[in-house]
Amino acid sequence: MKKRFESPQCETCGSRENSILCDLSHSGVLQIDGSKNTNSYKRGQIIFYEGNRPSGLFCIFKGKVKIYKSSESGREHIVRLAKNGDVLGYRALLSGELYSATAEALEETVLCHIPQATFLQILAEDHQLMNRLMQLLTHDLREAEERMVELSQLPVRERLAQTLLMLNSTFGTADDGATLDIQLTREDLANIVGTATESCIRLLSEFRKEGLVQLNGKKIAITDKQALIRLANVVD
Amino acid sequence: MTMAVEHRALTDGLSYAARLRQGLTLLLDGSESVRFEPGAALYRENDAGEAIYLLENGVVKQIRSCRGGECIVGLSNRGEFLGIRDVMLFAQYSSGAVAIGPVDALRIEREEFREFLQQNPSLQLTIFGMLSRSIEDVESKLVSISTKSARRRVAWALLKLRKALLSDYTVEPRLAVSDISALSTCADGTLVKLLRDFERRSLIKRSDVGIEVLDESGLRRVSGEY
Repeated sequence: MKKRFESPQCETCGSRENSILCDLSHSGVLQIDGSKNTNSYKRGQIIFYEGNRPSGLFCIFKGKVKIYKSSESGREHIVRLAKNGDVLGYRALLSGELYSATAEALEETVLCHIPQATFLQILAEDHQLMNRLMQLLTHDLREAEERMVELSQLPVRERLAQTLLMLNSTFGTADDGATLDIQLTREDLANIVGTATESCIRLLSEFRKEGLVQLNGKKIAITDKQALIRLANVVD
Repeated sequence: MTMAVEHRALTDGLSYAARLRQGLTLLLDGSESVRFEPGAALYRENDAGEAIYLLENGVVKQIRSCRGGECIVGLSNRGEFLGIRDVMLFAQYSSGAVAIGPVDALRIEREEFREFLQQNPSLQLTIFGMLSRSIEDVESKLVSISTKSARRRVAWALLKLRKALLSDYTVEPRLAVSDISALSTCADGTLVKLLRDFERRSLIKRSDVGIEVLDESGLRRVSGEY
């Protein structure tokens, strides 16, 4: 079957600049290029499931991915969002454990899959890569703890404001400088904030009335960032 | 040992902390043991990350401050390590570590630890696995906070803290209300109401010295474990 896109070459991949693989040696780049598979995922398509065994490392060439855990009742809680250059599944791969969460494409997404053996071989020869992975891991741990504290201590209104600012800093904005460059359903947004979808919709409507945001379907534009920062109680 | 072989070894029975203790034996043998009285801080949030600790005895809570309150982000027992992540990053401690009961801990200075890791790079994978497991714990708690009722979270917190303390004390531990509050991440008013209800149902008994668990099975049912 013919692919609908050209497989990216690691050497010229623009997304690699933002990746933990940015400083990889020339031989490492060639090794990955020779063994990786590239696939396209439609919006809503699952990349891997919680509880499955990892077979390699995923690297996002293009697109956005949500990583979520499911509660006993089946409700999703989004623990992380990923974009171009981010890697997926590195924790399970290196600790030899099963995926602790599910990854799903939020839009048309192109992913490169680096086989486990190739990645571990490169890792064994490149101590800087191990250091960068360790930094990524500790960063993720710190973020998870911060989110836990926020979730337990902050009112939903502040958490929603913080989430909108996080989406702004992570994914940036469209050409108008205000519209977030990520389109999430209200349910997804609620699953990041950790609240009911109805509460999320009500609060977004309040934000709109207060002139903090403009809403156009799934598109959200931040119209008064400073006021949102004050509301979120964060330092710009 | 190559990284690939080491990686396979990681899936064998021992816990990450146990593997790290094995790997650090030489370093631990020469380390100083420090005694911390109940309530004493091994280190505080935002202190410079100057040392890691291995708990020899006792239970330590890891706390993060938020708006004058505190949130317990983890509980550690005998045999577990503290402070590794911050020391690895040359960062400040991102959470404080406070002794719940009397604690004895081996202290390893940052430079000694990092130098030892450089000489033994395969240990990095063990540390990686250990930190990875910590993220999973925190993320599971995130899901719990956002999806479970306060009643279930308080029951879970009572069981969790009791289990941590039971491994160190021979008598039934008395649990501090402030620790249950910080662990369950439940508003004070709601917590008081729920504890009163749990006592009325003979699941717990409250006194000046703390909370005693009377009916573990009953609490498990409330927490949703059964």
